[in-house]
Amino acid sequence: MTDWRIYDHPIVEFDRGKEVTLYLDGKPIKAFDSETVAAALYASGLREFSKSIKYRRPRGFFCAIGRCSSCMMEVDGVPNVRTCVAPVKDGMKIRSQKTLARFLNPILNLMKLPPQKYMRMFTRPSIIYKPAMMVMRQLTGIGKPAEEIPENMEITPKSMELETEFLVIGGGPAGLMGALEAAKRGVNVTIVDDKDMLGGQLVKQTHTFFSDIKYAAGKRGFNLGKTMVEEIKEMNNVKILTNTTAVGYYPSENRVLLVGPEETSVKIKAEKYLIATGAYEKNLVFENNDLPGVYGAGGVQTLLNVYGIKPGNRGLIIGTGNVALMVAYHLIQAGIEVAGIVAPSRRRVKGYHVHAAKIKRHGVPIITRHTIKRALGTNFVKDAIIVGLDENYEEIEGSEKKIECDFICVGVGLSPAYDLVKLFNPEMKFIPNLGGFIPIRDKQYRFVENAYIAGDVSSIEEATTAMLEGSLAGLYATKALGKSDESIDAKIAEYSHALEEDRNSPFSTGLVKAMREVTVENILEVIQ
Amino acid sequence: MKKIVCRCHDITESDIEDAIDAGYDDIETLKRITGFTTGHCQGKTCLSLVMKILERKTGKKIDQAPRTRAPIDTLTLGSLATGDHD
Repeated sequence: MTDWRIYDHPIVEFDRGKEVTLYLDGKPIKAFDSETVAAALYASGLREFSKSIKYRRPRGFFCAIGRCSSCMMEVDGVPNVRTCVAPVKDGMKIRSQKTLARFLNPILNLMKLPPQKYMRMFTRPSIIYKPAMMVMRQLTGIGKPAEEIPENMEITPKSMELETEFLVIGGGPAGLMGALEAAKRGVNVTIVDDKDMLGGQLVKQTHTFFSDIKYAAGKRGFNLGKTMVEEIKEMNNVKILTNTTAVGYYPSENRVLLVGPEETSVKIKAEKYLIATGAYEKNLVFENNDLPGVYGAGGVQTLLNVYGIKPGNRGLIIGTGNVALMVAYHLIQAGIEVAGIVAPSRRRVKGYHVHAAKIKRHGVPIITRHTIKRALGTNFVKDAIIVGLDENYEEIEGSEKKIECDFICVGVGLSPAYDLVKLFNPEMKFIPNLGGFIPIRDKQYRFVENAYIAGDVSSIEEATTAMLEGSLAGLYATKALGKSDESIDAKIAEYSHALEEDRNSPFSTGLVKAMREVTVENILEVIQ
Repeated sequence: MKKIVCRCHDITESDIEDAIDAGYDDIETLKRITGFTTGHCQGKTCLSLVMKILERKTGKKIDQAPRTRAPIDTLTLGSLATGDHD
């Protein structure tokens, strides 16, 4: 059996835990109990996890942070589980949600109806609606209805109502720092995170941070995450809810609805909220952009640095920022060939020069003025076609080139995960320089009267700035809760200064300008 | 070869373009006719892509997202059933 795990990595030592067995459609698969289902399946060589809903196209792993819908499978009878965040358990039964439609694939692929047409199909006469639905249900594969519903189903109510002073949503660098600063000053804090461990995306950063902050400088990202999580676990005024998703905020009740493990629902009321939900990966539109083998840069980093699994043998990277450069470096570290970095920018890449130089030293070509046109392959990526761009970023005909690769890594930036923020009814703005939709906030990091914002959800930046923003939001919230101590103003000044220093580089001018545009003196004067 | 904009509902670039040509040329009605942002992931991949297509086709600057409603993530009916019902 093929095994894509890396057993000798120069920097990371993978503590995989105990070996267990999964069953994919009855077939045993080797897994380790620290892995997620998707990671274990990927390591066994599986690339296609399911078929898509309409055209039955192959779907596999993509974002690895439980944000997209690519990796959904049936796990122990539960349909549509995001396997990239579902932890492995011994004897788990996985079903790939393939249906009858795999025999009809050629016909379904020919289907080309504009949406405004197919929405009206099979609705009249009403008598055909039900049987048509039954057939379509068989074709889509998004889970099957229960075969039999027991007459007396026992429902054990697992609902809770909680109250806390400071609710932090998102346990990444921003959320953890916010929680730490508040908890140190005696605030009762609750942290909610939808993964099974805190630390957010720090876990996959194997490079060393260079920054002025004492806290972070010289540490590798994953070690930094560990230190923070350990510190927070020792505090007895912090309640940690992992595997718990915040699915809504209801302003009339001032409560957040959480859904936890085993279908537990929790209504939680807090005096102050900190939203640090982070961001998710952007994608590009090109032919076959949904083929397994086209991954988000973050997804590749997770596979590689968290689980120690090779995404492939030869990768092509699309993107021009630091993420693209970083992921190339991580791949080289792990001994995986990088076919090149394809960047649409004119002269040079936009990321830090240090990173770009490092990549070039390893002989990786940085192909500027090009973008990807097509991914080749039927069930997973096999080679890619890139195309040149002219001054107006239009494709130059005839400039197509074939690049040999078996996976494509798209690192074109992140969008803030603004959904929860929007439920607080803030004033939203679309600022491309900060990543996308973000709320107007004031200098105390408030975007409404009772809620604060920090980290990538407030502007796409580095982990270090997220930590500083989180600390500041935590300190301001502590002040608002009336728990400030003598050190608080000095701390605020220290962190604000460090943040300014961090943003004081030529790369950040656009960002700083955009930031000024969305920051007001007092949020209460802006929103009613 | 298809260019997929929304992985959840298999919406292609040409689906969006056709809908815009048919007159659904603002983000809210475009969402209702094509169904982007209404899949499992609630618009995490498709929104920025659709905004770009719409900007290109109409020449207008798009700075509004469709309305967000709770729940913002997938949840089981079981978890809703366990809450209080007043």
